[in-house]
Amino acid sequence: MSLHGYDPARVLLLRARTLGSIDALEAIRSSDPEASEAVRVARLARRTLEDTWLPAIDAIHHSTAMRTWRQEIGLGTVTGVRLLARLVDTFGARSTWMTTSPLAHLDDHRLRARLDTAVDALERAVLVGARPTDVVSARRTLATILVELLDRTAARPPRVPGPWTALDPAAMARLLDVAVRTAEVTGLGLVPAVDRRRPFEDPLVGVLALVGTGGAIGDPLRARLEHHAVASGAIADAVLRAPEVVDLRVIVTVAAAMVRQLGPEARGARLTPRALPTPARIDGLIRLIAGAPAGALDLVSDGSVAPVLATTPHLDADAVEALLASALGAPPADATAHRAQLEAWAGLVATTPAGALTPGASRGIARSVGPLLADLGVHLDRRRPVVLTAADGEPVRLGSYDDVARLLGDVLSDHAAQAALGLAIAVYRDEQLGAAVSALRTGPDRDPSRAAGVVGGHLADVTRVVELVVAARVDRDGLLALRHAAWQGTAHDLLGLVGIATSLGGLPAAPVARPLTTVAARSVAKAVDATSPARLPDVGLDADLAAGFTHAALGPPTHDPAVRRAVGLEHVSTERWAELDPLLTALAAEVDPDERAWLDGRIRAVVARDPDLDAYLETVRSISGEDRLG
Amino acid sequence: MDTTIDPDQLRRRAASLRDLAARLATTPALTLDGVAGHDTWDSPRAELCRRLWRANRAQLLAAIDDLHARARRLDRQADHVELARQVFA
Repeated sequence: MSLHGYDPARVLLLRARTLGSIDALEAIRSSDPEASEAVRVARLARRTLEDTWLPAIDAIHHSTAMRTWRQEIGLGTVTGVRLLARLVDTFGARSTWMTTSPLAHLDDHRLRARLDTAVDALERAVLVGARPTDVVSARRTLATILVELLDRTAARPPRVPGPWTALDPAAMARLLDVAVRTAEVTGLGLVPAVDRRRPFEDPLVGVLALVGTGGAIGDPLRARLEHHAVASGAIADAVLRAPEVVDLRVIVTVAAAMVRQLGPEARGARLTPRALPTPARIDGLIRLIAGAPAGALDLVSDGSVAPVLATTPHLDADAVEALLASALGAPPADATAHRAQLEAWAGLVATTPAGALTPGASRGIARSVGPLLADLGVHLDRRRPVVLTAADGEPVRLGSYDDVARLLGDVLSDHAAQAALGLAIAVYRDEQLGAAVSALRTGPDRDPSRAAGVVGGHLADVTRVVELVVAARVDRDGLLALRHAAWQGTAHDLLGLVGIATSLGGLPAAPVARPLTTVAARSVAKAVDATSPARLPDVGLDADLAAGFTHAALGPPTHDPAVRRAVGLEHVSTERWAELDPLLTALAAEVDPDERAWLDGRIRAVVARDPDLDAYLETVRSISGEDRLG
Repeated sequence: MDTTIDPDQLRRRAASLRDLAARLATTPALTLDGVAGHDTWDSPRAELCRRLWRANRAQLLAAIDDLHARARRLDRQADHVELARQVFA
């Protein structure tokens, strides 16, 4: 074979045989002194295979070309690999010879030296305006080295740093500078463009792919990346040309820098029109990121990016909608992601100016609000800040009731967003009704005497969400799309539920009467048409009074079983009272209004989990007139 | 000649060495060069691997021969012990 390279099928067999040999040699052991030399020889042979053969074979096995080959022939399973190895072994099967990089024989140190030389050569060629053929040649040389670096990095086991990490930040920044400058020269038509089918011939693609392989992007490199991202379209173009090889963090960093440039602060600081990124490029990046919820959440969580995304009219509405829906509406991967989602919501509530949401942002928010409704329903109170609890147990302050309502009001300016929100409310109501029906029919709450509490508890949360929507939109006549979607999306009929509750004998009971009446009267359409709720500002004193009410209402039954029986709470579990007890004690002792509000939120969350308690608190609020304060 | 040595034990050791030699002789490592030739991979690095392995393989084959030789020696020693015991019995 004249060209350096390999037969991929035979390399698979070689790898399997090498691994088998290592295992077999590992098993060569003996305690007999006469065998000591043989055992030593076996150990030496094994070390040769482990230290020399396997890394060399794995460098091929994990290379981009080999991975592509395995994908192309559908060799995704261990069985498939074994079958192919047997074909090669038994029948001498062969595959197409693949040539390898002429740099494969260089060790990492020499490759690094070759990289420095190539960067120098390309920089000189670009700076002095060398002949296009010379620039292309230097560009190709650098691109080849970058691909070799990438392949070697990919061949490293996890947690073993790749060779590029030997590059100090300054060298990496220079590499980026030269690659960007080359791309700009190419973009001006001074140098032949790279074949679009072979994106790695553009060194900038290779550099961007390398940046993502070194773990966290350091601040100096991030700053350089952001600088280039907003100074020219070369970076965005390279990412869009080969998005599959660029790490998501790099794409998010680039997109965030470009989006910030569209914001009012950056606009004021810009000196030349050249610095304005093309919205079309940002749209492309946003669409890319929208496909990966974790990246979308990273971008939307950035407090300097979210308001610009939500209010800039130049951006593609569909792209922004997809991005926000992906970031805020996708199921969180873990507790940290859940908190990040809630904080992103809080950021949107806090930073979006009134009336400034674009249609795309409105739709994106409306599409993703569904998962939030269950939490919101429990915690909504006109006089309290909306504080939700993240999956990691940390409270996140979403904003004041009115601020949340204002954001929703902006969302509802768009008809498509109205429809999406209406559907979300319908689904939420559907879930609550379904849960109530299920509890009444089959659950431990089958006892007719408890039916009232069950129904009331489930529906009270829906009522609170509907009230928020009503508060959000002063122009109630404009909510036609929401009303339509909300009604169309309802699978359970309220009347059917009332019928079930009645047949169980629970409906006339006092605790359910008010919440059910509330829902019936204030169900989406009627509430929107007929209700004009008073709007009180969420002031600290008011929230503090509400916390005091919670303590006054729940303290006696929590601390005295006799009171529980008297108010019909004898079925509430001991565990629930045990949860409430320390919270109420802490609330009584706490003087800081914010802490009191937070504790109040925790107590209300506990209460919401028990239909009897929830209905009890609602009833006491109603009877005492406390609810009318809101 | 030390006639206190147990000849059966010597033979057991010889058998154990032969077993080890057989395991070495049948290890897939000795067939590696058949699948690692120039028609499988060809590069300076591959050449280095082959060169190193040639030395290892030669050592392995020598070790197999050595194990057989040591086994034979132990068998002979066992025979001698038994013979000595018969003579001096």
